[in-house]
Amino acid sequence: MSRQKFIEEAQVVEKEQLNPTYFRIRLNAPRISRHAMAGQFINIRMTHFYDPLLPRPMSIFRRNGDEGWLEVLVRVVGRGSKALSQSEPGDRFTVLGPLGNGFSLPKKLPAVLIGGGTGIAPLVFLASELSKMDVPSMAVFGFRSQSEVCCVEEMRAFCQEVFVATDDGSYGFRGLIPDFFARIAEEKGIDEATLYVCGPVPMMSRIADFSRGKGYDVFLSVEAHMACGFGACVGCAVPRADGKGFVLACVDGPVFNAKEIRLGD
Amino acid sequence: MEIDLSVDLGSLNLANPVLTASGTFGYAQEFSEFVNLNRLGGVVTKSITRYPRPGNPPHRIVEVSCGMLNSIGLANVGVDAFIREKMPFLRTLQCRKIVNIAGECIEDYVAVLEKLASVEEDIDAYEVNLSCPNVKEGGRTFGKDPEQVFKMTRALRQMTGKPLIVKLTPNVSDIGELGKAAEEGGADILSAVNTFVGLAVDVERRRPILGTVTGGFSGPAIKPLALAKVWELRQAVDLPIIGIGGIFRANDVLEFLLVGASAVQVGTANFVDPSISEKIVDELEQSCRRMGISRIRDLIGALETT
Ligand SMILES: Cc1cc2nc3c(=O)[nH]c(=O)nc-3n(C[C@H](O)[C@H](O)[C@H](O)COP(=O)(O)OP(=O)(O)OC[C@H]3O[C@@H](n4cnc5c(N)ncnc54)[C@H](O)[C@@H]3O)c2cc1C
Ligand SMILES: Cc1cc2nc3c(=O)[nH]c(=O)nc-3n(C[C@H](O)[C@H](O)[C@H](O)COP(=O)(O)O)c2cc1C
Ligand code: FES
Repeated sequence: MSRQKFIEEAQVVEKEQLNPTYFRIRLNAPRISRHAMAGQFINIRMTHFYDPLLPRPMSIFRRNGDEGWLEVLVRVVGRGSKALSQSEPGDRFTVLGPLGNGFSLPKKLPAVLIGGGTGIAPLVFLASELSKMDVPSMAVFGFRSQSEVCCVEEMRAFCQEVFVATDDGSYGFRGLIPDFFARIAEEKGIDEATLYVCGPVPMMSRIADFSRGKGYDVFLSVEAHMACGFGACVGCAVPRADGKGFVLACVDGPVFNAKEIRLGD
Repeated sequence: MEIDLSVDLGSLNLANPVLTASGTFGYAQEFSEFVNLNRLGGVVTKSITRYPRPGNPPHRIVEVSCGMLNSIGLANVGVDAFIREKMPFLRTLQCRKIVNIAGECIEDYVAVLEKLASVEEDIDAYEVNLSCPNVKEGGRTFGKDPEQVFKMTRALRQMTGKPLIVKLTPNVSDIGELGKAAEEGGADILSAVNTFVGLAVDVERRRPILGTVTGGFSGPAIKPLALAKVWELRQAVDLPIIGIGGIFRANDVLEFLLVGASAVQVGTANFVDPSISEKIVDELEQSCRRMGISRIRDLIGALETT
């Protein structure tokens, strides 16, 4: 596992608005791109002034090590993500990465990639890697409504099956991802699988609960408020399931076995 | 022109005035791939306590305008694991190695220092964190009470001949009194400041953002506050002072030196750019050259107020 980290002055080479709040941003960062593994993230510093001050963590969404770029899928929620969304080709951001542990390969097949919202970002990277290794996978993605739906065609190229749900039913299945996944698991008789889950906390909690006692290995990619991104500030604590203290999202994670951690509310 | 960046803080000499602030630089090894640690004046470890501390529940961090709040809660591996797992790396460094210690009562601090005695030849100085908001003695934050600061400093002074740096809280109306108490207790050096108490609110949820309600405020936003505290302290004591608070670039270092600090610590900036401490050393040399200053120590306390 590569744990070497790089600081790069990454130039924005492409920006695309995918829907009212999602942006795809391509950054030129050859060293990070080459060393990145699915599930890892980068820390992007928005400005050399002091506001926003801290770098913002973003999952690596796609990369091409040969061409030296990587992409992030950004949802605008506050000042930092807004600044990213307003960047233009040619702008530069200081980027630190690749950070975190990344996904490990599945021991139980198929690999089921379950993503909600921008939580799909690391799973798109994972799907492309699994497909390169001919590991069978399926994807279950959820969005708020049709306008947010993205990456479905791309995922079809990587995965055997792709299922999509929206909260309002404007595209695909209507309803929430945990229910949707439970139904798929039952219909298809999936009693062994490795689940890779990234999305809102309630979604991840419910999938972890549903999976308990079943033949699933469950990996969750979690978010925590971060400062450094590499284990120095001890800010990104996630409670351990056994109640014995904390693990750090930035170095022990962001990917954890669901058995290891207790998700917040 | 040869620029001499070295400074002396009593018996503690530094190749340059740039140290790293406790709790923002891990145990130094975390930064070894970003910084040539030997180019720094020295490194200061995270606060080490008698027993391992898991720290506070999340959120431990929140950004505020030009700064951040933290409620880490002194999370650290404890002194035994520190000696076993972290000292071997620190030992390899040529820069000054300063170990920051903390606890909940005098006995805790004494116990940490007793254990560190076994590796003291590889430690250049101790910094005593008297100012963590979570540290209480008899229900009072003892870092705010000059009497307790005096007692603590005296107790530790009797245990070691190494330079003793007492780190002060700014959350008092008269930091000079704390400084005098530490001076009388036998401190060699003072460092100021630790974080200011701050609070951030999530309006929609009507809740504080940090798990502990209030937290420690750091970053560029506190620099003018910290400078004023160092200035106050300078009037009150003769001991060398290490200035801390919002330092991001060489010019900030020079401000602290002018108001009377002999060295500085870089804190929050390390999170924003992990290589910043070494960059500041480079920049300091350039700044001195530009200003025609051959010895940086000549700037210490050189603020002209009339
Ligand atoms: C490992 C990891 C991977 C992530 N990947 C993505 C991604 O691929 N796409 C995406 O859109 N978002 C992702 N996020 C969330 C993203 O970091 C936050 O949405 C972003 O930091 C918000 O910053 P802001 O200034 O826009 O919002 P503000 O609310 O103004 O941010 C204020 C502060 O809170 C922190 N913060 C707020 N929300 C979050 C959050 N959910 N997680 C961590 N810190 C937060 C910010 O970093 C900042 O310090 C990821 C987070 C982590 C930890
Ligand atoms: C995340 C974080 C953790 C800290 N932990 C400690 C600590 O363990 N011991 C200590 O003496 N000071 C600690 N501090 C205080 C810093 O050493 C420093 O005094 C303060 O942050 C002000 O400097 P700055 O504005 O440059 O960060 C911590 C600060 C931060 C931001
Ligand atoms: S973000 Fe600093 S330790 Fe995880």
